[in-house]
Amino acid sequence: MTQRTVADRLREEYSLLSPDIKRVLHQLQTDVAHLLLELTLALKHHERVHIEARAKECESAIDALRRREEARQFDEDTPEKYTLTRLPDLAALRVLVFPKPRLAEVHAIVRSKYADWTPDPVETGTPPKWRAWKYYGYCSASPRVHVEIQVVPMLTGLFWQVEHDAFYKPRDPVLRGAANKPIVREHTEAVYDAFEALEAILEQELERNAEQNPE
Amino acid sequence: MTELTEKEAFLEASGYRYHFDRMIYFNRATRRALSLEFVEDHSLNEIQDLVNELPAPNGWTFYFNQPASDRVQRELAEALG
Repeated sequence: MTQRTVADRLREEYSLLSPDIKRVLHQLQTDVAHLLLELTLALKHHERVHIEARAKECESAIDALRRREEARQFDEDTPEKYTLTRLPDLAALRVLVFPKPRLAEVHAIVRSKYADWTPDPVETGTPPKWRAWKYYGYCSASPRVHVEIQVVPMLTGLFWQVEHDAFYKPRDPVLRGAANKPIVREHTEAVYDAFEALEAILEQELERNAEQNPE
Repeated sequence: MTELTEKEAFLEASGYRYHFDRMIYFNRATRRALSLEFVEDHSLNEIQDLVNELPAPNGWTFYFNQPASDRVQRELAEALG
């Protein structure tokens, strides 16, 4: 009989966790939308708050666990050491915010409700630069599935979606490996910096317009 | 150029190729492979010293932050040829 691989075992685990993933995502999305309702209703015409929820797909979750191994190789002799419950983002919520002052406000509101969750800010580059807030923990809907919340500057978050769809979603390991090469990462950093600078200048110009043309 | 890209340039100039799938730098002539994590966490000087050492007489040598198990080493050696 053919021996089951680590990936086979993880697929089985995913199918067992799947109902929990759906439940926690539903709970988190509803809770965060409720928390942000007052702020969302008070947004000015140019301000944005988008809430996006996603459940990690089975193969993406297995790939994510494999990527934690050096040389991306599971040790088939020790299958018991791998579990999808170690992933902090089987279910995840991303809150995209513009402009920056709103970002801090959204973070403060969301963080107050999830104060005991583990902070894991997104930092990239050398030396590390802050890019977004991130924290993970458990919802009451499931004690097994970690949930992650990200509060992200809007342009950076939208670029992450493009990056994800272009490099990660096709599940092409060669493309993913290319995206992780130091020389490519250095150029990606330049894109993040450019988006931050663009958001800052947009914000400045909007403020100037508000001063010159008070409502 | 950041320190990381300097390390990458040094490895490529020393005959190492980047394995896009496994995210390791490897050299078939010296039968040596370094994980991307290892390269990130060690200085250029340390990597230069290591690359300049004489290669092991037989088999692959893997430089990982977490030592790879025998099985993983065996499977990687097979994959690298």
